[in-house]
Amino acid sequence: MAVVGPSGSGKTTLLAVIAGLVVPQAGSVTRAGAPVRPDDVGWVMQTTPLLRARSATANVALAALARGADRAAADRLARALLDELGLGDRASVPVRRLSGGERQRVAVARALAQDAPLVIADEPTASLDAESRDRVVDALLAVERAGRLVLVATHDPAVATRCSRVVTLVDGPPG
Amino acid sequence: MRLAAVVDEALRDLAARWLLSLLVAAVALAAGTSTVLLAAGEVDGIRATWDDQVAEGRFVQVVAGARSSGVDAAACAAVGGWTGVRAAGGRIGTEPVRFATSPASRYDHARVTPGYVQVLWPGAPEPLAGEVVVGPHAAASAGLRSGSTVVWSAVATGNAGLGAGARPDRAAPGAVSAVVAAVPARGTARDPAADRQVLSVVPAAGTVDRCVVDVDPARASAVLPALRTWFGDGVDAPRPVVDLARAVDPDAELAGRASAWWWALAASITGAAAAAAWVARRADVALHRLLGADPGTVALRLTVDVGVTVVTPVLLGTATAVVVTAPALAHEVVRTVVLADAARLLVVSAALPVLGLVLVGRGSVFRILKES
Repeated sequence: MAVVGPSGSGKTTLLAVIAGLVVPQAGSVTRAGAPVRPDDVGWVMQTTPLLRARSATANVALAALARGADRAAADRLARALLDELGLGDRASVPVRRLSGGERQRVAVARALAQDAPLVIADEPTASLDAESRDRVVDALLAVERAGRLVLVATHDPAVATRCSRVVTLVDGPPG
Repeated sequence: MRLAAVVDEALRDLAARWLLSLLVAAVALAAGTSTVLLAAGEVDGIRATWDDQVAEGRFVQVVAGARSSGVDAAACAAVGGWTGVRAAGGRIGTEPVRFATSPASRYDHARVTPGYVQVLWPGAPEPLAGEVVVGPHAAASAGLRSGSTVVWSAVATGNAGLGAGARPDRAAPGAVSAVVAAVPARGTARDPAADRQVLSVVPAAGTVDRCVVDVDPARASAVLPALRTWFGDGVDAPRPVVDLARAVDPDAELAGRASAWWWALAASITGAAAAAAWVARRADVALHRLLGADPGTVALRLTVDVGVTVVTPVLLGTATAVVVTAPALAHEVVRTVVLADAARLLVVSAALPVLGLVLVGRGSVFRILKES
């Protein structure tokens, strides 16, 4: 699902509230009747938080380790996911040497490794060229096909049109 | 995340940021090394000054008779048996003499009671009957050494019959000969005149013109008051042989030593280096929190950081410096102070994870990642 709106309309804040990282002033967010916990959410951000000094494999494996997997299993899963997203030959490269688009795909792979039911992507294709943008969107669609709910905040129409649903934010915060 | 995985990931993160880790470790190593070196150097200097003062006679008391009346020789000798007194003895009298081997020069022959020589030169042997101790200046100028025979005669009668090259078996009437039991290596500040004297030990009878007492510094507080009352009236109050106005108070020196605060400064600099490294990696910690790391897990990671980049280098630095300063650390006072400073540095260093938690373990994950 795409969340679209002009800059300052509150897209990022909405996603943070949904993910449980920001407490809303009023109201609540539930999923299947239960509050959303931060570790139920996989994040793909515009400036993706990755361990830049570590390899792509290490970054993806981190999510599996956080779920309690052992090192060998986490590494296997990471390499498989990176392969699936077309980064098999870049798996051992430190993240700081990857391109913007490659980093976003590493973030998508990590979100998959988290096995989180909800994946939130906040402007994941900003500053990317068209080819990289399309690869990232393909990766997110792969996540959706794997059974997760994917929320994408974007003001790029090329991204929004590939989503099954679009929610538009018209105004920002009141006052 | 499994405990082992947390530790493993923390180590891998340190290795991935090896330059940053190395910089922090270098600062910690320098902190440990410098803390020990500075404290050992300064305290050993204070200790050496103290030892020099003791050797010069800081705790040697001299008792003289009031109005030249003399001090009871037996009472003086008895002090030598007190607990807390290393040696005590008195000088019965002196007479000018000339040596057969150096007839042009004039020296003094001092008759002293048992213990007097040991006060002047701690560790020197007590001369037996027929033996003397010769002061180093006198021995050098007269060509005397331990084991040689010295012949002297009183100045008033000593010139007749003695010429250059006279030997003991042809000593002139009135000459005295004795075997040199010892020639101390250095002069003594406790009685500088003794450097030019030949000292022979006689029974403690009659009076002595001065009684000198070498007090054990550890027992001075008990001995000195007793000494003031031991000899009764007729003697001056005991006074130190050295001018205490020039003496350094080692307790005050220790309390005011410059290195007393160095461990705190070193710990602060090390903490600042670690903090700077953590702030540089703040987004990494936030990412771990985003992936579910609770405060306990973050604290464990920070503890691993501190263990590897701070505590271990501090230990290495202090151990290295301990080896280098081993001769100084052989002295208890130096060892006690240095180990205390090193322990303080280690304790503060080990507590750094708390600082890390304050700096990077709190705050909105979302905001931190957006700002990174």
